[in-house]
Amino acid sequence: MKGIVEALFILGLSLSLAWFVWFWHPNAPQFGEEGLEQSIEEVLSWEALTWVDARTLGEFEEDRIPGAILLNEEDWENLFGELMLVWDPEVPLVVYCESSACLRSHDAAKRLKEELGVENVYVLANGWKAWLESQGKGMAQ
Amino acid sequence: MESLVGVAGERNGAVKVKEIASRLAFAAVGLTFLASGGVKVYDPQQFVSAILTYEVFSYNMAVLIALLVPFVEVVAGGLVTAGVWKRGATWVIGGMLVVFVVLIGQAWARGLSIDCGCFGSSEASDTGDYVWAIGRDLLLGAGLWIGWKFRTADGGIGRQ
Repeated sequence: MKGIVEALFILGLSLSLAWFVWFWHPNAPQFGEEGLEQSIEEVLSWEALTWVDARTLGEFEEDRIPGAILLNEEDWENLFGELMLVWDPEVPLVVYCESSACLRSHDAAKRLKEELGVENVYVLANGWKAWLESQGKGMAQ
Repeated sequence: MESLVGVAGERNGAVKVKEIASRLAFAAVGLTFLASGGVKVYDPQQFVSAILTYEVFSYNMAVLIALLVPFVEVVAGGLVTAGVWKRGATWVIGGMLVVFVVLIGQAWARGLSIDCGCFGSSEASDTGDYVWAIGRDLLLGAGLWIGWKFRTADGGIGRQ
C-alpha cells in the first residue's frame, strides 16, 4: 500500500512537471488536432487532393508521390509561394514526410493551417512509407 | 563473551557490505535514469520522434509520453539515488523497465528500425543493437533488484 501511494505521488509530481514544461519549454511538442492524421486508404478515396512533400529537397528529387509539391522548413518562404500558385482552397492539402517517426509533416500542416487560415490540411499517417506500401513497393532501408 | 562480540562484529560487517551494495546499485540505476530523463526533458521533440519509430503509439499519445516519461525517470531516478521513497521509486522504475523491454522486443520481432530514445537519439536496427538495448535494461533491472534485496532497515538508505 505504501509503495502504491509513493508510486502515485511520483507519477503525480511528474505529471505536474510535464504540464509546466509543456507551457514553458520553447521546443515542447504540441498535440495534434483530432482527425489531422489520415490513413493512405482514406486519402486515396477522396475525389481530389494536393500532395505536399515536407521532406528534404534531396529526398523529394529522388522520388515522390506524383504531383506532389515540395514544402519544407529549409526553404519555406520560396516553396510556400510555389504552393500558392496551384493552391485551391476547396481541395484538401495532404502533407507527408518520411514515415510515422518524422515530425516535419505535423509541423508543416500546423504552419499551413495558420498561414492559409483553412482547416482542410491533413497529415498522411506513416508518410512516404505508407505511400510505398500502398503501391506494393515496401520501404527500402 | 569475546566470541559473541566477534559474531556481532561479523554481522555488522555483513550488514554494512549489503548496505553499501544497495546504495551503489540504487545510485547506479538512479543516476542512469536521471541522465536518461534529463536528455529527454531537454529535447522532447526528439523523443516524440523516437517513440513514433516503435509504431505502437499514435502521434498524440507519443506527445503525451514524451512529456511525461522523462519526468518520471528524473523524479524516480532522483528519489532512488537519494534513498527516499525507495519502495515507490523501485516499483515505478521496475515497471518502466518492463515496458521498455516489451516495446523494444516487439520492434525487434517486427523487424523495425527504431530510435531507441533511451539516451537521446540512438538507432537500433540490427540484432546487436536490440540485444544491447534489451541487455542494458535487464542490467538496470538487476541493479534495481540488488538495491532492493540488500536494502537495510537501520542504515541511512534503509530508513523509509
